[in-house]
Amino acid sequence: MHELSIAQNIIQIVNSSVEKDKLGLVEMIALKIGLMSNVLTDSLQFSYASIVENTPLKNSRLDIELLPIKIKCNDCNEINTTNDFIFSCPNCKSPAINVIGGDEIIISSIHLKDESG
Amino acid sequence: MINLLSSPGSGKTSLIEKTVEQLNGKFNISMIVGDVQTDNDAMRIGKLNIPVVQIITHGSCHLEAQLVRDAFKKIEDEPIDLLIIENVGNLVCPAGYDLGEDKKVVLLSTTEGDDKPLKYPAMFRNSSALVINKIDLLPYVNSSVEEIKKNAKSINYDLNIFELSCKTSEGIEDWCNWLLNQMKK
Repeated sequence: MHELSIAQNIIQIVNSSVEKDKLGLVEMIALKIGLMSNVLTDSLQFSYASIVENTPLKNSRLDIELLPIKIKCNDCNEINTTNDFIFSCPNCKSPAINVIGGDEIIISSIHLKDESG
Repeated sequence: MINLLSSPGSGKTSLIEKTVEQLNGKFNISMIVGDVQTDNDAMRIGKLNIPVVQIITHGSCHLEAQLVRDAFKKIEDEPIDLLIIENVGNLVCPAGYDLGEDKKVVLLSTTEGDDKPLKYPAMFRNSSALVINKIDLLPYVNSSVEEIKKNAKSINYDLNIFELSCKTSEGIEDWCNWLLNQMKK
């Protein structure tokens, strides 16, 4: 939904996490994105590629892992994951569930080329 | 602090007017209102003699915490028991942006159709309360309150649901009582 500003934010975080003279070595940024975060991965990839053009990060790419929605049942305590927006416990069918994951946007790692070769 | 969310035209400003009518004098209510353009809503709320700040987003479809923080500076010296943020009318993006609120409240009017909770699940999942407005129009529309409630509960079982009409004031009291209970917490 707001992928361009999310891409800008990712670049800001990379810029502040990697030493300036090593930005050209960044080859991959690993992201974990929850299905409930409303982020469109294609659109994020496009936005990212457009912004890093002509910058030291131009050779880097995003590697996106989608995280399912994680729900915990308040009745039977079971934890399950789902790819659908269905909010009831698959085990006991109770609708009393808490969403405990699936709305995150996490930069899990930043990968740099090995300078020695 | 309440973050009030809905489609455009569901009655956010009307609900605030009714709420202020009911509670003002007993509590100090302030308001921050977001719109893409115009300060019409702030003018409306201003007539109620409560502190109000208008945020014009110039095209942006939701409020962000930073905008609210900056707007709040204009009223921070006022005594405030309850701060209501009226978000930009939109059931999509505002669901993803926390403003520092205690509760999100989503407003849905009977004219919008009863499948909206299923179409915009994140909004209904992230809210603590659902206010169903315009129940005075039920005889003239195809949606049913029971169906809205069923769909909303399937997305979020814990939703507190209020049925009311800002036009006739029916149901306003229950909603205000819930707000009062939240303020006690």
